[in-house]
Amino acid sequence: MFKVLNWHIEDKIGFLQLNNPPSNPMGSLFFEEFYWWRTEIAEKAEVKAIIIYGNGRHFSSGAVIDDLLGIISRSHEHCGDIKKVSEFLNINSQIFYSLKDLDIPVIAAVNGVCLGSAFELALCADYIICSSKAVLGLPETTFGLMPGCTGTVSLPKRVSTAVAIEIILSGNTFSPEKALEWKVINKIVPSKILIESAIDIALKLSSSFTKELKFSE
Amino acid sequence: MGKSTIANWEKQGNIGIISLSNGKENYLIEPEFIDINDLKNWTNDNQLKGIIIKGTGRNFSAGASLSDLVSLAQNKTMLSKKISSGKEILDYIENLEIPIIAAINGVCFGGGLEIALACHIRIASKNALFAFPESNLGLIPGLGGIYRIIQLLGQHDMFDLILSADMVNTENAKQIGLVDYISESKDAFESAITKITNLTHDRSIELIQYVMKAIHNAKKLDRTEALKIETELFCKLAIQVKKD
Repeated sequence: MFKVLNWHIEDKIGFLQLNNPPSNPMGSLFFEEFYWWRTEIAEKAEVKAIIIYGNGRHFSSGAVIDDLLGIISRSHEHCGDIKKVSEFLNINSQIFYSLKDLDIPVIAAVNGVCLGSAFELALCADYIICSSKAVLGLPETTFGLMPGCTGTVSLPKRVSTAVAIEIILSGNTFSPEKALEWKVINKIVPSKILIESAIDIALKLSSSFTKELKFSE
Repeated sequence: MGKSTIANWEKQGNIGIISLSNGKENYLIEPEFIDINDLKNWTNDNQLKGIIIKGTGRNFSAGASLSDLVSLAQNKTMLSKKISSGKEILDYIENLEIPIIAAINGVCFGGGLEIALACHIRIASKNALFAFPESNLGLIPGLGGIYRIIQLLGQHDMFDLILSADMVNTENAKQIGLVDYISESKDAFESAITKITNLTHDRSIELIQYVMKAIHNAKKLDRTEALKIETELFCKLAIQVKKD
């Protein structure tokens, strides 16, 4: 059914795997499949929690910037109206952020690189568990861009303005230890036990989860 | 400059510096510690990438002096007018679309702490002291400080700080999240200059403004609207990058 995603259910926990190894980049196909998964599958699935993770050593390297810039500039040349271009692109943001509308806990289990849009996706989860080998960051400003897929909206709700400015404006990558100190993530575990720890968390959270606990407005 | 304002402006490259200057403690004579029109003129500068507020000398600011406060309180209407203008100044600072850092040495009390709380980033030297002494006088912080501190720290630490009027040192202030960075050098201003330079020197003014606008929107707008504007700002930058 999917090419760059994998969805399976085990013991009432839904597993969404980002599946384009080694770095699981987020191209146009990813965003199409993610939209389909969120609107047609996640809503109806009989699961008590969802775990999002990457196939292999990495979570995801994020959006494919050249593809994205190409799409934006072509459609801008075509219609000449930034608002129309961004209306189309905004669907991706709204769909990422709508993970917060599910009434079950969503857990991002992060191994290896988790940058740009990939980190933005993780920030839309209710709980972020990282392996000690995770590398996190929003590097967009180092290319003259800014986070464009929920990062500037979700991050300031989790952390202080000072931390949001540091992460977004510096564009520097950071370790899970730093992220935990900043309260950007919730837990660090050894890489080998990342998924089993995420399952433990999923079971714990789902037994006491109410919609009010969602990290929404 | 009005006679009761205690703020001076200078520029170092793309960085604006506001210095509070009134005796050793930099007491605020009035809630209008700065003339809002001056502030608007200074910051209406398309070369500006960041701002630092500091106290002249060893202290940031001890807030209002008791004698000034008593004389201000003689006229109720006037006092309430002045407090509204003070709030307007701090709201203007908080909503600036370039980063503003409070560089804090020595005492940072009352109205001084309210100014620091309106800034986006607080950097303090190891010897700084923080307090809201208002409750000792039967008062509460009046310039939006209670609201800002609840947003920053949550209810629990807010009560400790405001109701007890206890002094908090830099280390504890960092622990509860009142201070963002502890300055390595003795003068927090040096660390603030380094921080703001690192954050902004490789970034265009437009990019800095977009990022700050988006961060403010996250707290002010509902999520659908905030996300819409984020994507629009992103697209504007993307078209720019593709051209260059």
